[in-house]
Amino acid sequence: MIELNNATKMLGGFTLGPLNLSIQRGSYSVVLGPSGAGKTLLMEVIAGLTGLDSGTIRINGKDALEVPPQGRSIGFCYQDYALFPNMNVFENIAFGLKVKKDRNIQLKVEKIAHLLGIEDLLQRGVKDLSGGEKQRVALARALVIEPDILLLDEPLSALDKAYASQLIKEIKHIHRTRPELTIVHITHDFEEALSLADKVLVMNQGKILQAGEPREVFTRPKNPFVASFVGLKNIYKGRITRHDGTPVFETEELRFMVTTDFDGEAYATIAAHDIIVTLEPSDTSARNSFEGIVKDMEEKGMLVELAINIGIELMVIVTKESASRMGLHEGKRCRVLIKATAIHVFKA
Amino acid sequence: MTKAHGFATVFIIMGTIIVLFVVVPILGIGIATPIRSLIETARDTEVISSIRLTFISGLCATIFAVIFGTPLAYTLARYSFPMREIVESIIDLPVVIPHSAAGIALLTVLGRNSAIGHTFSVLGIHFTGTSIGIATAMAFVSIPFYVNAAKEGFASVDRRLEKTAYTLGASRSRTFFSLTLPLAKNHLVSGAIMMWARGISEFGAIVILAYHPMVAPVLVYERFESFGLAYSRPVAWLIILISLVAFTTLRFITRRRRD
Repeated sequence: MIELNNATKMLGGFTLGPLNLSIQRGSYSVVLGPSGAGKTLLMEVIAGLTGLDSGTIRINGKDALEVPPQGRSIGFCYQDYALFPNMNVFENIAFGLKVKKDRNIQLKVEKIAHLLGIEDLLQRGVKDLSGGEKQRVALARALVIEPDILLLDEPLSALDKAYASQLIKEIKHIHRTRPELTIVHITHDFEEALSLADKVLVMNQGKILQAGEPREVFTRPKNPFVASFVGLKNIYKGRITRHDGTPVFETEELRFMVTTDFDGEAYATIAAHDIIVTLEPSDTSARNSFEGIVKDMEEKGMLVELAINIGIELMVIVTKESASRMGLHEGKRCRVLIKATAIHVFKA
Repeated sequence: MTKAHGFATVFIIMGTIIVLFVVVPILGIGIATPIRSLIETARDTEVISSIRLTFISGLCATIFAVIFGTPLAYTLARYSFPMREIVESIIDLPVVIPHSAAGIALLTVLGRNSAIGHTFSVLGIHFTGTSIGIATAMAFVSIPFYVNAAKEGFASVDRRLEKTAYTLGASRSRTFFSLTLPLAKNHLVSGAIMMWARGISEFGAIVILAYHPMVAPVLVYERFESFGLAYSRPVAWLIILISLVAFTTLRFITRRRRD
């Protein structure tokens, strides 16, 4: 368990905090935010690489400010891997074990290398590895010391999409096999956050703007920055199946026609401003067309945010002008149209 | 001729002038020195012992700087503290002080009648007219070369490597010796070579602190003063040759190791 209380840190002209935060043991937290938001600095505070100007940080109930980074049992993976260039892959991974005078260095290094599929690279230098290989070595080096907390700073940002999703799978697997391991993961990628996180923290300008379950944060952003950064999105988990060759995304309540080339467990997201609301009955069967009832309306400047129940709740944004033209009000029946291409699906 | 060609031509001519400016005197002294007198000089015991004294004193000065200057260079590269810039300027001072003036300054604080000089003389260490004095003068004028190169070397090591090592449980000293130092090594070695090279070419500060025993540059000066140009030339040429060979060899070794 990591707890920050009114933690602040000034660095140059930048101020981190005051941060209040609690991360449960064994959880997977994803920190989202634009560059310069202070995400890496937050990680360094947790790792003890940076002190605090005020406030407290407690790890597993103990005042962590008293504990140097060497004693915090934290595995830290920097964004550009920070592999030791004067050591080969084996020596990099073994470094933490060697420092602790571990007796089973060879065995432990081989085991973790096998888990991450890099056992063939052990005798290689680190300079000519690919980005994905470097990331695996960095992960292996952090994991082999069996830390309580694993901090990942944009671990997938430099990798291509296919490789990144493979690594996501492996990180998930590692987290499943080590349920006590608390992971904090920085990213600016919303899909990454959704597919990994138990908890999402959105940061900007040194502050945590919102923290909560991913669905909650993405569908109910608390302030305009979070809304614009994550986009106000409808998020559903379901399955993709084929009906006469057409991919269909199914939840228990509803079916959407989508465009995709894979089947199976998936997330679907629909940006709130991509949904069309109309009062006219629609006969175009090619589109996703649903009957619904307006459950909630909230004016936001020139826009109106609608919660429309179509079997599931759908967040929709329309202009104030069109809302009043249609005479929308709470309890009003309407029709919702969603183009198949407006539904973004990706593997769960 | 196009404009681009004109530009390149001017730069080539100007660059050539600078290169010749350095090369011509060195070649000139070589051409003006008969091989026979060079060989004779190389057999002169006074010359040999002065060259040996020069190289060894320079080496001692460099070892002193490596041991005591490395922590300072690391501190300057890694930490910001009040007066850091002042400390950096102090380290650079020997470069701008006229070396004869540096010699006078050293003699003032290390001479037999000074407090420091007297204290050391009780321990049997004398700075005037000794090889220790020579090494001290060499160290004084050449130490910026090592400290600045080492500082640059440490600054070139990514801090995040050290931070990662800390999270892996490595102490500061463990991290320094197994990570930072090996990664900065090339800068340190080339800084040490530069310092040594600068140290062995010193004349001004040494001649004031220790005219005797005679280092090579002082020997050249003495032969010139007492016997004239022709007599001092073979010694000068021999010293230039040996310095060139030593310097090039060291450079070559470190360059090759880097690749």
